[in-house]
Amino acid sequence: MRTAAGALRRGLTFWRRSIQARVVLSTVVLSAVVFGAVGWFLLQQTRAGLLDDRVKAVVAEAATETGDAEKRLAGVPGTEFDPDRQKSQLVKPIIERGQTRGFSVILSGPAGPDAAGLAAGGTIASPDLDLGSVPARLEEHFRQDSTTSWTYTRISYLDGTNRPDEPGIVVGSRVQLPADGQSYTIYYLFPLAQEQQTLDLVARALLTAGALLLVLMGAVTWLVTQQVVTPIRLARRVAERLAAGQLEERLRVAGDDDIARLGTSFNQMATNLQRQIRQLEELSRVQRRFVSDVSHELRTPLTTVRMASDVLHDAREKFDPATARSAELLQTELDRFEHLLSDLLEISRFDAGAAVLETDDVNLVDVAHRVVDVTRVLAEQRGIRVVVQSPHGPCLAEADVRRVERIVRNLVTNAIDHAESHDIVVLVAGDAHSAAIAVRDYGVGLAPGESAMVFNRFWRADPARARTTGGTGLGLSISLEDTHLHGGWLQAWGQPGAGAQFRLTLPRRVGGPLRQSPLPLVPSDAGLSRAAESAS
Amino acid sequence: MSRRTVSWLAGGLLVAAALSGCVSMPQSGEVQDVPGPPNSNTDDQFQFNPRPPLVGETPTETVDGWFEAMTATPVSTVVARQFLSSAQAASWSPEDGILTYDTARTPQGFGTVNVTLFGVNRLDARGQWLGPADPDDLTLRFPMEPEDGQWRITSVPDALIVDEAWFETSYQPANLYFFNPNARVLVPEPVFLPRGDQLPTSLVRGLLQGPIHSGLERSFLPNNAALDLAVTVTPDGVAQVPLRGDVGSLPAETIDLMADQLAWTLRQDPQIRSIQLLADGEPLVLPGGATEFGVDYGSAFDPAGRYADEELFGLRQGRVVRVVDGVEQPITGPFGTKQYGLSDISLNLDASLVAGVGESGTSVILSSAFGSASGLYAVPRTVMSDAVDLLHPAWDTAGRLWMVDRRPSGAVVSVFHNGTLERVNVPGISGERVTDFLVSRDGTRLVAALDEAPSDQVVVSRILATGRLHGTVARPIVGGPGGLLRVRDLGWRTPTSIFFVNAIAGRQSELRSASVDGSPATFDPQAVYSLQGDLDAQVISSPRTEDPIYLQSSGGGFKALLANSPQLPTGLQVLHYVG
Repeated sequence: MRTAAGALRRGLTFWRRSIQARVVLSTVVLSAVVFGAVGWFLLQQTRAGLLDDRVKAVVAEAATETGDAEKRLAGVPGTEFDPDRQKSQLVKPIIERGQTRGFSVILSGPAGPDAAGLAAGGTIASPDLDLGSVPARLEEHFRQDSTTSWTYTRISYLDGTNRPDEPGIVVGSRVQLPADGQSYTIYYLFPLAQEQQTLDLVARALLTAGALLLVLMGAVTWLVTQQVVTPIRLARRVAERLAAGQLEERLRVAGDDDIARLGTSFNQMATNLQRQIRQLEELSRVQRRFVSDVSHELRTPLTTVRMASDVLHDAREKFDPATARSAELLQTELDRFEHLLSDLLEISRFDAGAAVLETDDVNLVDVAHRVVDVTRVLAEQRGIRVVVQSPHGPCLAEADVRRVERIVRNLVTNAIDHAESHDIVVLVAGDAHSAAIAVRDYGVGLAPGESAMVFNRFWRADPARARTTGGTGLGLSISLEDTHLHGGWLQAWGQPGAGAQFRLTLPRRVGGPLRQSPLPLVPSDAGLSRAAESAS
Repeated sequence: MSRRTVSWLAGGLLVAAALSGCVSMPQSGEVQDVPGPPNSNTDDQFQFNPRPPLVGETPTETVDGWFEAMTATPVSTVVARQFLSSAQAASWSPEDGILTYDTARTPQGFGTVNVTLFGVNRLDARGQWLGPADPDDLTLRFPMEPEDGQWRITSVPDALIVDEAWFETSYQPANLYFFNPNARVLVPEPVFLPRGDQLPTSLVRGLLQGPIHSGLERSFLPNNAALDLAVTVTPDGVAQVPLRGDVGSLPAETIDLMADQLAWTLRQDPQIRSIQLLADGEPLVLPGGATEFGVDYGSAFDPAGRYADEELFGLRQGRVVRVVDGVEQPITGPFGTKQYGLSDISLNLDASLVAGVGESGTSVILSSAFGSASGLYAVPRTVMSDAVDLLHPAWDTAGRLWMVDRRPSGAVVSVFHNGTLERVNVPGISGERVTDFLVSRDGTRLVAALDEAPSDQVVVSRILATGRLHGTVARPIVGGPGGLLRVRDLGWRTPTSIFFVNAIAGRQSELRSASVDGSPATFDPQAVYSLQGDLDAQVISSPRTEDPIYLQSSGGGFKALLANSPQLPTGLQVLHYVG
């Protein structure tokens, strides 16, 4: 069972992946339909032709027999009176001729509207013939009418004769017996066995020819598609290697046909791509190196400036108010400069791949509370209340606690920046495979498309808006890099006027699979907010 | 399973069903009419379909209807049977004979209806003319009984009773051909049979019933042979004769002779050109391998003599001459070269022997017709010498020389054969006053003109070869009570009919014909020629219908009756065909 299912699965995979198999099968199926239609048409024509010829022949033969019978009856002296003998003498030679020529005969009568059927007796018939071979509709016809008529029938023979039933044509004709002046009906039953054999022969020939043609079509199609599909497969493999970074891979081009031109174009495209990728990599590397170098180079003079600033700041009370204010401003901006420089260095470490995790079991609930505590002062300055909604128990994840705290702090600080005096909710949740923290604010929210851009470096939704919390514009980018370092997700949701929600999801174990988050990205009150907004 | 898959499957099944339906022959269907050819009546006779009995007819009307119904054309008794009571209808056999009548009195009576017929003639079951009924008026009584409220006849004669006029149009004279006892020549037997499509069947059935006179003729159709329903004639004139019985196992010679009889008999139907015999459905093979033979088959057995000489022979100045195309030439035999004082001559059928009657009519001398020193009768020999008044002698195909000597006591019939002279007793001719006589070439009929008061008669006797040669009682075929005939001369017209010259008062005579069965000459009204100014004219004729016919006046002149006949030289004493 499992083997069969496996085979079926493999077959379906093969079917899904092999364009050649699909083309061959489609060709064979379509050809079968076409052959079927043509064969059906040919058979129908053959059958109609055979039947037409046979009907003409049997009607003519029956007419000849009836004409002969009428002639013989016309020759009988009119004074003779023995209907039974005349009937017998009339039909016996016809029956004998029928036995040599392959048709059966029934003489019934006298005829008339009230005449009894064949089953009532009084008939003379060919030996072995079942009288039921004459259809009731033809008997009925001769009760009303005396015109010579024919119809199709099934000729059956008496039990014990070992002759199978067969299709046939029955022709009925009327004759008048001089002995009693009554009309009698002669039924001639001609089997269609020979026509059936001919038709069977034609059908077998068509079927065999059709089957052979189908096999041939399948083979030809296989060969033709093979010629087309093989270069495509080669191109696919080369494209896969290119995608995997093996930018030196190229197609082998032979000939001058469409496939060869495709290969040439493909190779040109690969070369162009390779060149541009190399240029971009080089550019990126130079930029990163530059940022890193600048950051390092700025640290030494900054330390000196810092020390000087600290001296000035400590002595500000001795200065006139304007100078004291300048000393304070200098101190504040130096703090921001240090932060910026620190973030740039952090980014540079990420870019250089130098960031390393120091993992431990971290309780995200504690992290949330700690961050809230740290940012409480800032929040209170804005009149904002930050609330933690967490489960009763701990919510553990294997993580670098410093980086996780930095992520959560960035998210809360960012929320405070955009909360516009509304409360902020920090949600914590976990399950067997993951743990998550979501920060929900009810501020300006995000315009459509902005949720993907918020993690870009130095991106801001409104360039005119001041960074009141002293953010560097790199916080969310660093948070994203930290999250990626854990193998987790950092996603944003927002709607204009409905606030925003940032959700951090971490696997329970570093490098563990992450399929879903314990918290929804779209908050459950998102709709409510919109409804409230529209109501107002 | 998607809807598309289901549609495909359904379509496939439909196609498969249609395909499978197409590869088998139909076993049912509508009843189709076949446009029939127009009703072609091959018979050129007019048709008369008599009315069946009507409701409420009186007994006399019923009898009248029955008489009318018997005149159905073509011949049929289906309607006539409907006028009879059930019992009588089941037993009535109209094929047992025919009664013809000239006139009939209107039916009279109620419980029993009487019908008187006048001028009644009878024919037997085979159609042989039996002559007038005696007496020739006949009163038939038809007892009547009601059946299902309608009058029906409970007893009728087993015969077809029809008026003469209908009989003449619906029946025709024909001959049934049998062989003479030693199967050397065919003997025709005249009968009357229905005209049209029924004629071939009636002819063969007549033959199958066997010889009419078993002593003088025989048939080679087996006794147990029977005709299967009817003889059919194809459009190209092939008569198919389906026989049953021991036909297939007959010896080749018998089949050959049977074919001769059938060919001669069936050739009388002008639409028949050839014949095919079927034995139990299979074509019968004739000696030589043929399965079909023409109606001219068996010409060797011609009753008129197949090998009979066609020329005329006469006497000029006592010598025998042969007349060929109007030119006379003496024969080479003794009678042609020497004077024997002959008054009459008769040559046998192959014209090899001449029987000469001496000048006084008392002797007969036999001589070869060819001049040769040896051979039969190279030297003339007298075969009869004590006769009184010999008539013109006659020969038959058996080589018998027939002589009638008119003695005062009456005629004596003698035959000279194989060197022996034999007297033959022919009742009704022997001892009578015979004015002329004929013997048919087949040797089975002797026709004689008898001089009787008040009217001459022509009588026919059949010659029987069983035991001693003798004749049957002569039966009158012409003349008899009520007639006024003066028969001067006789001559054959066909093998079954004769010419006779009848002298009428006022130096006028006429040439008439008669059938050897005695049936009226009304069937052949052309056979009367009027002759002015010669009471004793002689007719020169032969049974071969293609031979010219001449009348010889008592002055010796000849008159040809048919156009294109050769002119004859004048001055010949006598002139005769052979036989």
